[in-house]
Amino acid sequence: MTFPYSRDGAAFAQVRTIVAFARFTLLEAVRSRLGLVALALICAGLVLGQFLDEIALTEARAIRSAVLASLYRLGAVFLSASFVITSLVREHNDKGLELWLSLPVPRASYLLGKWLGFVWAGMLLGAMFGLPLLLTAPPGGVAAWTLSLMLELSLVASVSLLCVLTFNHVVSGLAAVAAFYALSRVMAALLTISASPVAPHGGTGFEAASWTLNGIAALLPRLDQFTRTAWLLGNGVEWSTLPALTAQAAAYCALATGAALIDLQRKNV
Amino acid sequence: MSDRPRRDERPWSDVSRTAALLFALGIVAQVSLHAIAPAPVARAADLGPPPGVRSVVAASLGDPLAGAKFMNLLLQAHDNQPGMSIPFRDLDYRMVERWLARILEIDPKGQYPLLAASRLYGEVADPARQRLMLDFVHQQFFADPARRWPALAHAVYVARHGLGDLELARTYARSLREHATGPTVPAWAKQMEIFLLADMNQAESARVLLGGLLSSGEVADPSEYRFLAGRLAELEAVTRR
Repeated sequence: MTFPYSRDGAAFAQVRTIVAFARFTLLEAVRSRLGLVALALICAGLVLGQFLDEIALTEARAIRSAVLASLYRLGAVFLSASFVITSLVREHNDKGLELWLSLPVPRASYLLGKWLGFVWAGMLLGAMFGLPLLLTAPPGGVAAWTLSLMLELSLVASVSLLCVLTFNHVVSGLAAVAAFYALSRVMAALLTISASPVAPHGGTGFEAASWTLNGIAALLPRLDQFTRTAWLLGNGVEWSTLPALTAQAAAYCALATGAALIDLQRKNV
Repeated sequence: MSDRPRRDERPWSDVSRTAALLFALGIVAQVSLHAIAPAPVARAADLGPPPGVRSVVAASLGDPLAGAKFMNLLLQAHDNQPGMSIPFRDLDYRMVERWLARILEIDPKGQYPLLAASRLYGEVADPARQRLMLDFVHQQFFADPARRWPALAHAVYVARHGLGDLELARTYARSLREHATGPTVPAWAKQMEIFLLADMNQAESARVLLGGLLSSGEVADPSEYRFLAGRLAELEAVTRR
């Protein structure tokens, strides 16, 4: 197989730059002790699981799996988002961004490289949080859960990248990501409630609210479909849903990264 | 869209085609995926047991009333208009009852669960389910008659006209008369038993009850007094025959 670009070609150089940025970002993740924090959370979860084992009257394994899965998913999402946001805010404050952009490096290569690094870090986090679940849940379910968590973290990293480039501050960036995540998770429940036949259909206020809700839902990923605890409880893994989840993650990564790229290219740095 | 840059922004023409294309592809893919995905629909089978009080307290971050209000909406999304075809015929009404009881346990002043039980679930075209809901309203009524009488008054109506069970309607109406004695309870609610007795051809009992009510001085409104007095006269005429 031949590589489509010559070794000296601009496209190949661009790919090398992207990979270099990604490696630096991954190195930063290691040096900022992201892995250690994840490990501490995993250990705390295992201790909590042991405690639940002791107090549960029945279905102790299922309770432990469900609680651990929920804790690990939220922990992974928080760590991934906070790493993306603090990393870019620090780079912005240290004038690192100016330094990179003073070099003959296209802004797209810089951003895509950072994005790739964040996605790799998210994948590693996903694998780290998935592994301990093998102690309590069937391997098939854990595999699906872990793959889904990796996709979810890629999506969260992309949205965090967009938010931090837009707001440039840790608090506002984290708040925006938290709002996005919470809304994406509960949107299906909100749509179900709004579709209830006992709701006042036909009323102007209700129709306006319902239309707005549907509009927002169209722009949000269905995160309630990702990383389902039911897969860990021996209810059977719906492998057929994974391609749809991959498509959803890919679409949203493209959307968020595209928007972040537009934002970066318009910045007067 | 203006191409004039703000002080801290470059013009739109500086945005590369790749970035614009990536964003456009992403948004088209996202909206398409949303369009082809099946809409989330509540299914009867999905209604599991209600969460425990402590779970609601924890889930609502220490604000259980907000949790109870949300539980109302969540439960409501599992049902349909009464009187129409019942798409949720499989809905487990025992489970519905447990949800309603749990919501009342968390939010005892809330009227929503009782209203839902008497006017939504209690009007479904299935006598067994109706009775279950009406009994629920009746049981819960005793915990706070002054506040919960409207739901039981409606239960009297449903039992009388929906189920056609006069005895059951009279039981509820008697509970109303005996327990809903507060000043906020209107007289018509206390008088329901009288009209039911008349319907049951127990004109004598109705006459005695109505006479007692009129002589008790509880009927303060003159028009209402006239109306009830007329009704008493009719009953006395019936009992004389």
